[in-house]
Amino acid sequence: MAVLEGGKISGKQFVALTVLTRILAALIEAPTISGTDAGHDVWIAVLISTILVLPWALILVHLAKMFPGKTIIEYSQDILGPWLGRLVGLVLIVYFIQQSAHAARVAADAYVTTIMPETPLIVFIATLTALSANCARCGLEVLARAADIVFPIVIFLLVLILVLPFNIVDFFNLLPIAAYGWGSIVEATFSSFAIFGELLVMTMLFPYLDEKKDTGRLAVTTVLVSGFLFTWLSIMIALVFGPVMESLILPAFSLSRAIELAFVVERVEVIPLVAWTLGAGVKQTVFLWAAMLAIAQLFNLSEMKSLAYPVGALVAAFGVWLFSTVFDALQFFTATKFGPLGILVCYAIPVVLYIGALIRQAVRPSRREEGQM
Amino acid sequence: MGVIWGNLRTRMEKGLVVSLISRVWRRLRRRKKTPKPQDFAGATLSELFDFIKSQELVPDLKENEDRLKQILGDSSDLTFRHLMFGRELKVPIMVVHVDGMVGSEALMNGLIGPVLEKGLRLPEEKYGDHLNRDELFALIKQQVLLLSSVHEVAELEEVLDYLVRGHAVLLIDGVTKALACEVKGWSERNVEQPTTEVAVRGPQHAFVENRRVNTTLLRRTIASPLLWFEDFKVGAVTNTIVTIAYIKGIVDDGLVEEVRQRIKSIEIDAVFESGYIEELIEDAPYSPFPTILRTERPDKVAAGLLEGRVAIIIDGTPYVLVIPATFATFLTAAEDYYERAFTGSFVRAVRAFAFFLALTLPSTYVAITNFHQELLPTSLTLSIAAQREGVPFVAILEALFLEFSFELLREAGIRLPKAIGPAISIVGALILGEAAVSAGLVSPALVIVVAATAIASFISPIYSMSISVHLLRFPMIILAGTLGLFGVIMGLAAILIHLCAVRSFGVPYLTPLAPMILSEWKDTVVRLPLWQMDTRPKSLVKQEYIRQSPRQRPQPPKQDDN
Repeated sequence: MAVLEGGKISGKQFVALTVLTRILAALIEAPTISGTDAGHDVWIAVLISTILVLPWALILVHLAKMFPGKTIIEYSQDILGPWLGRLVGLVLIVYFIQQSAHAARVAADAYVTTIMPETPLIVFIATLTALSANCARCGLEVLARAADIVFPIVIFLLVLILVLPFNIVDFFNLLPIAAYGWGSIVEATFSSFAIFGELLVMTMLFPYLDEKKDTGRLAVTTVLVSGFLFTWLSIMIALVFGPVMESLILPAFSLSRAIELAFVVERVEVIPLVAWTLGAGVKQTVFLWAAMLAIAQLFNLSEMKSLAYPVGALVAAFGVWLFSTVFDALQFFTATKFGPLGILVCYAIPVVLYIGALIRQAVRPSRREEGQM
Repeated sequence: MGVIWGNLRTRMEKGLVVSLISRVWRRLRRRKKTPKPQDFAGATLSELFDFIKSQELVPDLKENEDRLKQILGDSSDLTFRHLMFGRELKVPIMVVHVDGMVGSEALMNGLIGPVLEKGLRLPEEKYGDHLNRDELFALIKQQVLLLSSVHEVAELEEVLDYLVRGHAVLLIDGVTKALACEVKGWSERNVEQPTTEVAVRGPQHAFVENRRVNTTLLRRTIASPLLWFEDFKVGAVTNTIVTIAYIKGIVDDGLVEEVRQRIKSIEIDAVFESGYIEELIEDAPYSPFPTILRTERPDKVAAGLLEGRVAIIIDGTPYVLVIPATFATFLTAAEDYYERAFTGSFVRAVRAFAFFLALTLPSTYVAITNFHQELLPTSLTLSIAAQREGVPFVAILEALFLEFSFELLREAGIRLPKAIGPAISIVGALILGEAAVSAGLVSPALVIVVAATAIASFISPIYSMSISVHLLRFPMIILAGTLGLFGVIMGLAAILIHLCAVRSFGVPYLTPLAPMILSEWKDTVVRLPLWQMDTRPKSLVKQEYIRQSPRQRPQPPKQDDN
């Protein structure tokens, strides 16, 4: 069978890719978890979900180790049999395309709500998608190299907006803890947990790591780094805005607007703008690439490059049709909307696969013995 | 038959159809005719090449002369000199050379003089009739010619090749071999200071048009037997010699083989400049960025060779190619290494910043003034607004207009005769700086932006990189004018993706930034002191990774206090 993706990525590039994939959520969705009532306690929800995600990440790693060199699309067919496995693959393809479209839509909506209210949404979505399709077409290695460059820039900008508002923080904004009751925190945790599910894309990246033995360490690093950035951001926003934070649509943008230092550093809204454009670009491209690879593997295609623009067109169309308003996009994974579905796809599937794999492993040796006898 | 034919023709010439038929007939007859060697009438290039290949040297001198004259079209610079060897023997000898290509002193003192003298002094009674012509050939080659380089040639094709490269060819009657004697000597530019890559501190010589002088400059910089040269002939008509240079033992053999293959696969009629070779072997032919470094500084080439790169020296141009070249190579000047480490690092940071500035400053200006005035501090917004009040165009047109007039000035400044240059700069400065502003065509702020951009864009030590930035600025301005800051970011992202996708002879273009190779940062992002640069670039060198012994930091001797 032809090699669909010949690229190899280093551990550093893996972390850069996966953390960047999460930056968009960090800047736009996570800090307030729009649609829930947790208010300034969101950081607790983010923290809890980060810890909850860790065992799941380790399951993904273990699955990758049990089926070396295979993506989730391939080993789901090994574990569940060809038909059920292909069904899972189909579901994942839809999820990847949805995530890619979601990234484009959120970034585009962010532009429309902040600095370019008169430009039609489709302009942003189309431009972003054209670029990501172009990049995904060039293959994983190019994408990883781009992430190598973008990662330090985005992290620097992020740290900048996290540090610069130090003179307007009010620590009493965090009190009282659990002001709206633990129920709302649980609800926010659920939402945050569902958003964390986008790390499922790691299962597509694992086979292309050049150092396989670091896989576990890298996955944990990704979870911890992104969880840390999320928590910090939501604490910072709570510290600066306090009770108002629930009404913010784009908290990171508002945070950077609030920055004002010695009449020199002010109006730095461009910073989150650049950061989330780059983050959205990487996320969209990673998921687009994953969708392309998944389609190519599921349907036994001989190459995946020619899929870039068709799947890209699908992503752009989904980006426009899937969500009716900016709130639709931001609250996509809340408990009352598609959160349960997201959890089903991102968490239930790998867990079922893992259990299936364990059973197979337990059964297979006996079978072999039977065969030998 | 002839009569009938003539009759027919006179009768037929009256009709148009008939004349057509006769024309076709004539053409058919011509096609059947093999090209007659006497005049080569209507012969094509490949036919001529085949003819030359088919010819051989003959024993008869006169016939050889005729053939050479015939093939060279009896060119006016072809010179024949007939000699007689020996007092009594009187062996006819012929010396052929192309006038102007040989040094007359070397020709006289090394070739013609010795041959005649030896002939007169030859003790003929000893040899008599026994001296056969082949022995004479060997005698002349080994004992007579006072020249350092003499080649024995058996084919007419080779004789011709040596002739047009400035050798004198000696032919002896009755021998089907010839001696190609190196007596080259034509007028040439001397080794001078580099004109496009100036350094305040560092070697002050540059390559010239002569390939041999250039290899000499390299040899004198790297006096090592492991500096190897390999010659290739490129160009079916120009027969340009292309030399690749590398240091055996440091260079990756796979890279050398790849360069060899790519040069061998070139099939072109002419090579006039290194640009020809560059365009025919580069990895990214559609990229606006250069993926092969060209330089006229021998020290830069030598430094490249020591890092495991391969140099391509092309006869006829002072620009030598160095491959592979990454993005960082183009922001590096030789002087970075000659001045102190801090200076080098600082200058590199300035260059990187300037590159970014040159790419984004005009487009950011357009985006902000057009779409995002709220991003500027209020006072600045007001001042720009006041300046732009009388300007009739939108910012994008204004910027394109000014950038374009700058390109006009730049191009005019390069092509103009030196005497008119100052006039253009005065006109340009006055028109752009003063008149355009006071006429209300452009705003002063934009003039500042464009001027700063212009200066920043020329900071790259390699001109070809500056040109790339110039090219990319226009789409960036258009993107900014249509999509605002989003367009600028998208433009930059597109350039970034492209840069990530490009490779130069197997090395990713953005190495060592992406893929990140921290050990190479010592010589790209910053320039560490020499005693810390212990290793060669990992991306280039496979075997000889260690460059020098570590722990060489100079320290003052410890003083005893007692």
